[in-house]
Amino acid sequence: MKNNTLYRILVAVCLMLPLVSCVREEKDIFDKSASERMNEWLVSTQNVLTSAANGWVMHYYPEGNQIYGGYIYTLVFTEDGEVTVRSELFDDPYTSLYKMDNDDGPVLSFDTNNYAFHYFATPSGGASMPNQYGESGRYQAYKGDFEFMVVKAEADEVILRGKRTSNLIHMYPLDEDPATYMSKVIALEDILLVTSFEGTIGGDEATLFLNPGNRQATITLTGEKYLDDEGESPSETVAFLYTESGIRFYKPVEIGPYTLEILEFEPTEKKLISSEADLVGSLPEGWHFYNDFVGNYTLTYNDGDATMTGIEIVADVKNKSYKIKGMNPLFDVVATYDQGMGQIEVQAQYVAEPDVTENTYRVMMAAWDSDKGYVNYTTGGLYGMLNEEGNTITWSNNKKFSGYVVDGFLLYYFTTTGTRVGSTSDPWIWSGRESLASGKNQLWGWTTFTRN
Amino acid sequence: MRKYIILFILAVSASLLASSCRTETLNPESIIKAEVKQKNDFDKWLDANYLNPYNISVKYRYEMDESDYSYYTIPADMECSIIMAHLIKYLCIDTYDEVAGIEFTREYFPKMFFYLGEWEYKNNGTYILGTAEGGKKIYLTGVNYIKDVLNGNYQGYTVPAEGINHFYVKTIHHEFTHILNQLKEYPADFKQITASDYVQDSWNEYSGNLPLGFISSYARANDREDFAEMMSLYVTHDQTWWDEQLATAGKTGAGFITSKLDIVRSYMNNSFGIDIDELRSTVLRRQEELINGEVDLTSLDII
Repeated sequence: MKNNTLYRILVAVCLMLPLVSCVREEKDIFDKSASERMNEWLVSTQNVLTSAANGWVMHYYPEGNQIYGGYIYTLVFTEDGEVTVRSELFDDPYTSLYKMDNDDGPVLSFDTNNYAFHYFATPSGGASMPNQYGESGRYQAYKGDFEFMVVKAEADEVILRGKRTSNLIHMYPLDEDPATYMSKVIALEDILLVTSFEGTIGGDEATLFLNPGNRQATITLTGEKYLDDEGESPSETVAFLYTESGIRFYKPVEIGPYTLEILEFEPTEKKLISSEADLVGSLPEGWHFYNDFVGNYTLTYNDGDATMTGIEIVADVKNKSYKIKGMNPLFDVVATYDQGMGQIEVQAQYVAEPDVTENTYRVMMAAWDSDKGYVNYTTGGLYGMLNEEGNTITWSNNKKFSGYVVDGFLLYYFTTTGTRVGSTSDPWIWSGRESLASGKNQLWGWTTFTRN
Repeated sequence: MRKYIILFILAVSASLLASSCRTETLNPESIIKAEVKQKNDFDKWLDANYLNPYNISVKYRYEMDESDYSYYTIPADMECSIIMAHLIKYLCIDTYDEVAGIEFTREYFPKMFFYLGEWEYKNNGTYILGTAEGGKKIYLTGVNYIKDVLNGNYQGYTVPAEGINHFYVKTIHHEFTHILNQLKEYPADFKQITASDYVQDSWNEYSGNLPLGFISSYARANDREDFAEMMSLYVTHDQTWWDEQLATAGKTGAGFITSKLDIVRSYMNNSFGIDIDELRSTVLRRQEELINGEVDLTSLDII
């Protein structure tokens, strides 16, 4: 009996097998092959890119955590594979090639070098091995992408995802000529100099601080009702970029009950506004424009006992850095502009490599506490405040070499791996400067730069 | 009996199974579609000068599949790529054609070049000039500096020929030597000459390579690099330069270097029928012609 049942089941199953096996092959979900659909998608994406009459504005963010902030590019794509790029960092447009590819999914790749586009992706070597932008010390560049997955491609918006960073990069069609648009962005950057804002978001008290150097914005709801158990106010820091009319965050920022993404700048009242935000900006005391520092000076050092004439602060990268010429015939000293504070700063830095072919030693200008006799070659330096008349820069410790009071700089030899070899007693480094005794490698007690 | 019936049913079912789905036909269209890319004038020039005669592909456009994601680098500039392609053709490919015959070049010269705009920098301050893979492909980095190098305006190399050799051409001879070594092994004696002084990856921390019998600091990495450095530095420099190196090396160092050179010379002669002195004079002659402006490095006319 048991056997019978078993047989019946077996027979039944066998009879059913031919039935199921002949259900026709699985229906394709798509009517075309994966490769055909990919090609169609690439072609349609390219059509979208090339059909914008004035091209596109791209909101570009290098580095996976957007630590350098965002920058505006404009791009005009042609059907035969060329792209013309403008960047807010360079005056001229540059043309190169692009391709639509499918190595990892649909990809837009900027696959020949474009001076404007590849800036954040261009690495550099040591101090003697600068890249085409004259930058050094960045073997991983700014970790910028030049290959992107295409996430969305429609006439009103293209969304890309950086292949290395996974950053979302948005593009919008331009309704004016790229050069005109870019000049508006640059003009906005020139007037949006305020970095500290106070006001309201949705009627609640709030502050906004912009760090123009790395383009990070910190938004805080300061109202008492938002204080948490530890007495902290809710605060968010996010990368931003300058648009033609204000600033835009990398992504919508949620703070308290509010969401902020785009703030428009209102120059007469120095306000950043949106439908909910109304924030009024002010400049810190003693704030000066970038260009205010440029000029010829006399350095007073040794705590006022010695002077060095013929010092010149020369503009370099606008709103970012200067070169100080005349301190030594062999190298320039790099100074930075702190846009938030509107002041100048000189930090410990590499200044020269005496023998580029051997590449063994480097000369470092180290921060120097002449009282304690300690140096620091990675951090520390002097902060320069320009007076109201704009004719004297007064130097003081920038407090970044903690525990020490930096009052000048000392030249040291270091190996390429950063080991200190010894002081540059060899006077070559200061040769040509009569104001310093032969063999002297230090310049301590900086007090002022007085304009000639 | 019942058993047989069941077996019979089973057999029928099984055959049904086998036959029931034979209606499928192959879709005449391949699911893999090759992309159709328009060729520009440079692509056509490359076809005429690299692909058709030598089956060499020059990839001057960035491709993720070819690149090494452990480095940050950028694509090559188009204009610089054009100069580079002319330069390599004239200084390397045509040189081997002349010295060893076109069949040699066709058979052994690497089949693929991949250009990159910048050097591949490592975090220890060194950088990669070029690499060869599997005897087939050569990565060429720093292509965007070719114009500066030709103008004698890069990294202290004021003599263009020295710059070209240091940054590019020596690299190609160096990598090509690796490729030849992969095809035919060189005698093990080579390794024994200075066996105890190879230092692997820390080569860049040492100086004073010549007295120890190494033609360059990189030659200290290992015997394969040593061999490739010997070959590539020899064929790209004249005798005066070589004698200077030997003089600096001193008696012992010079002795080692000369012993190594003897092995390189006989290896190239026995394995490939190439006289390295003839190769050197051809390289140097062509180099001079190029530096003197006798070679058009930008024309995309197809002759």
